[in-house]
Amino acid sequence: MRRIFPILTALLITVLCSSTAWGQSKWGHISGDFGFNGMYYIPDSIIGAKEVKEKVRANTWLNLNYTNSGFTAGLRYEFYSYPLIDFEDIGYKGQGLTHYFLDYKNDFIQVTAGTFYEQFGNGFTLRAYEDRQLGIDNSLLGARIKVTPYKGITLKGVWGIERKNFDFEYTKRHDYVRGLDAELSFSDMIGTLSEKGFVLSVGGSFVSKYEKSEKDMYITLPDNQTGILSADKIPQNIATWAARLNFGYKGFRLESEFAHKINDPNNTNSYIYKNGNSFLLTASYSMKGFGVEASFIRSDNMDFRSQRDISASTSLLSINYIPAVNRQYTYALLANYTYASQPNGQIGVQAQVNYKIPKGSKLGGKYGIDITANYARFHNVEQKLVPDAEANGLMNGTDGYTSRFFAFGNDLLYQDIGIEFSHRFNNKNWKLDLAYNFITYNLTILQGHPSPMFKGHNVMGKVTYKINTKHALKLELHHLYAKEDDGSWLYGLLEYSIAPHWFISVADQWNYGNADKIHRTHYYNIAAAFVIKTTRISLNFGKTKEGILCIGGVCRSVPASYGLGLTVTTSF
Amino acid sequence: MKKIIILAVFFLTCGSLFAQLDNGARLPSVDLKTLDGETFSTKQMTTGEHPFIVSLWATWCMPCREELDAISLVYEDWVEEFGVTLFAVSIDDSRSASKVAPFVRAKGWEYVVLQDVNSDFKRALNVVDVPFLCVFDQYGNLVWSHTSYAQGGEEEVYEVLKKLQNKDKE
Amino acid sequence: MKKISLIVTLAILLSAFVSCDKIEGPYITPDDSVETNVEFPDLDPSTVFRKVLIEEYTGTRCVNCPDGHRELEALHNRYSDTLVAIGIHAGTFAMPMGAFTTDFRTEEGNALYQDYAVAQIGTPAAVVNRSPYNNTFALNISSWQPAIEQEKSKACVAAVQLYIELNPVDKTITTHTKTTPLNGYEGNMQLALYLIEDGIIAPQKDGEETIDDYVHNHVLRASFNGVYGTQLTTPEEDGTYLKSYQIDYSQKSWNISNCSIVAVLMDADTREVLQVEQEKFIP
Repeated sequence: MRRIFPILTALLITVLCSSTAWGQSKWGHISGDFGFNGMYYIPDSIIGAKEVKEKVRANTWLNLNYTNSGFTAGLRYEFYSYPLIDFEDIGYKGQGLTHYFLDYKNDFIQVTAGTFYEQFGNGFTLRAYEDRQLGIDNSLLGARIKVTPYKGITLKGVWGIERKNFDFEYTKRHDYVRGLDAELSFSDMIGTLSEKGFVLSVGGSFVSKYEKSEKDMYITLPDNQTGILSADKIPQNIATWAARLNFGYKGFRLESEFAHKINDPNNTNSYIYKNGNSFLLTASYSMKGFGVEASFIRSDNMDFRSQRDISASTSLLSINYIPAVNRQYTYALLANYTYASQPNGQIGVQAQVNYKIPKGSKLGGKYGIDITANYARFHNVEQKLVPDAEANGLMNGTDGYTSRFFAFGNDLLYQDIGIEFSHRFNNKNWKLDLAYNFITYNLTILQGHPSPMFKGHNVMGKVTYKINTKHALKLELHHLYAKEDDGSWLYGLLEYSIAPHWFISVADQWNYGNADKIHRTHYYNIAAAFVIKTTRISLNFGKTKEGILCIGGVCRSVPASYGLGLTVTTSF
Repeated sequence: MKKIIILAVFFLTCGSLFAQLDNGARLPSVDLKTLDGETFSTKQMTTGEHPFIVSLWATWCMPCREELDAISLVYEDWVEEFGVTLFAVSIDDSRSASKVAPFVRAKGWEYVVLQDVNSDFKRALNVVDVPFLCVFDQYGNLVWSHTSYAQGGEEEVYEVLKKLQNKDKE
Repeated sequence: MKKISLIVTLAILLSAFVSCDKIEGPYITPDDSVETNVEFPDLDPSTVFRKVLIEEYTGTRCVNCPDGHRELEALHNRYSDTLVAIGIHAGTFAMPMGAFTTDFRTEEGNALYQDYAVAQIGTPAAVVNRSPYNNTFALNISSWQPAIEQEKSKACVAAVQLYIELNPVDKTITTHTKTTPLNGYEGNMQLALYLIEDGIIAPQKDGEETIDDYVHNHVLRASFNGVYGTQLTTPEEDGTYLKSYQIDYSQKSWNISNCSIVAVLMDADTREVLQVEQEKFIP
């Protein structure tokens, strides 16, 4: 700490002076962002907010980028030594220079050295990414090269060691990732194709992970016999490959990707040698005022991490990404019942229709009505134990199980039926949003606590009233009706905004239907935010329920908390 | 605790100092995808004739949708008055990326919608949260940017475009 | 520029495609321990003390190695049976050549030589208790004694009892072991059994000279259960571990009366030696 501060200060001062002096000159440009997310914690035994040792905690980071024509250099310092408790829970604790790179780019080539992010296709084989709000940073430290030898052809090669929270001892690591990706876009190459409305591209990727295997593993077999999984039976190089296709004609589009992974005994799959695979097929058709999309996804044993003994409870050292294709809601009461991809496997379908009752029609009024309907259903994959696993009474050290490709497993994981309306009244200052969802959620498998299948009906209504050009009022009311888990909930939010600077809101989430009277808690929250250009300062006070936090396609659990929070973010 | 406060104040001062600087950021060069899956380099946004708006959003982000809905009511007027183009860059990842096209076309938005599936453009622009909206002049110089959306926030964008036009006339 | 980048890309491509280990089943090897019904004498924990293992890396054509042998003998006189030595012939100077026809090298010895990076300092060298001394494992002669002192001072956490069963008809050796954790020790342990032989007469370089009737002692001959042995996984009711392993010596030229068994008990994670015990065939 003592050593780092002066260095950081010096660096910042240099950067500050230089950027002021250089301004818009040929000396390049400095940009960056800064974030501070702090909280003062108050214990509350009823909601389960534990007493924490350091009551004031914060996540702080500073990002700096320097650009000069084709060159970019960047760094990020993260100070998470006393992080918010949910970050501490997942081990995202520490401080240091976590991101630093040099990058050169022109029309033909891009070369990066340092830490970088990358994604191949849908991410089945490789996705190095970050989400600072979730405490995920799977950047690779190494090098990347990207070549476009001809319009429509892109080749990428990467080599790197994956970031493991705040463990910077890269020299002691015995694991690394290397990968290749190629994409050929025929419609980019052949002008006549795109002129006729066709889109066609194919791609393929290959990613291999190396991890030294030096220790035997031991398995207790029936009759207390010891079985040895000797180090030379544990693969050191694990490869995945994937092929993808994208076809489009006018409003119609078909996308598909198939990935395969060879034997990768690891903690998540109970050290089985079965191959993994995943398959995604998406078809959509859209025209003005109407869109329909349907997806099928199957993934089986595709958890792929830099170190085989890491548990699947977080995204730590995850090399790839398996998306759950269901629609994701930000409605307050449904957030706790969000479906996320299951590391050991899932098979599911999702369909969505977007329709706009046209503007100016009798029903649609002056601004039309947006309607979205949605259906999603996910099961586990079928699993039939191989004879060895059956005989041993456990899968470890065998081929595990077999599974028919298109067979849905017996366990329903998640189902969602939803419809949503959005309408702006002829007097355009009034806007109304309505939504209904019926959610079936397997608490036993998805959250790991045995309980009956959760079935919830959620109704949401939102009215926005624009008082004048700057002042607006928003009222949201939600009701989740359920018998299982914590029972029914009511939620209300009132927000007053003065564009473009001020937001003030009060919200309450009331668990009125909890079977246990003590737990019929009001999770209230009072918040105010001030925004000026790209700087946002917000203050909030209230209670947060223990639950799941999802951003984009990734979720993680968060503990209950109660307290006063301050968030400051800025981009420059 | 003390460290946190010291560090926060320190970072904050630096941050706000930076925020005051109008140091002529340029549009970063990143490859995005169109709704049809074709490559679109951000360089193509700069035409040399008209200013343009870049808005980062996601299908799961309510304020983003509100902002783009609100702008869609006045977009035609803006195009007529300033010749401006709005590039709505979705940061939906592979989970929801395929839902962007049906969503946008059903909405009837007239924007140029692009996809940034691994948030490369978002990082290059140093965006912390969406919605994030920037106005660039016809040469690709950053004129103004803003985060969050409150009803009526589009008025400020209009003011910025107007100012930019007046400056050009001078 | 374009060509170079394409070549680089192709090179990465090639290297990636060979990086794929397909493992053939069966994956699990059953622990090759044998049934045992040996009754071990009761153990008095107060009489157990921590013994130290010294693995000496040597070679018949290594001119300075006899210095190591002499140092080891001196150490033996000093520590008597609290020091157990294994002589490992490995590396370039252990390779048979010319007059030095005897090959004392073993698969196990070669693996240990690799794992403890002995080549970095060359022979003669020794590893004491497979633990680092001043952050290094392979030690020069001058560090042997201080390293032994360091190891001797550590707490005693387990006892190993041995019983050898020799079957001259089938030419098999069965070693029965009983491991008793002491002082509440709960770490994962791993036990390896080795066979060593004393008094082998074979040529050895000593400085400029070649000594034809040099006596080689405690030469590593074989292991019963692999380089690092096997983990102790299923305890008996009283918390002790009983394990027995068998080897066949029908194809070997060992003089059994000069042989002894060395049992090395290690921490399963770090492989640092916790206890070592030696048992001669002929007491």
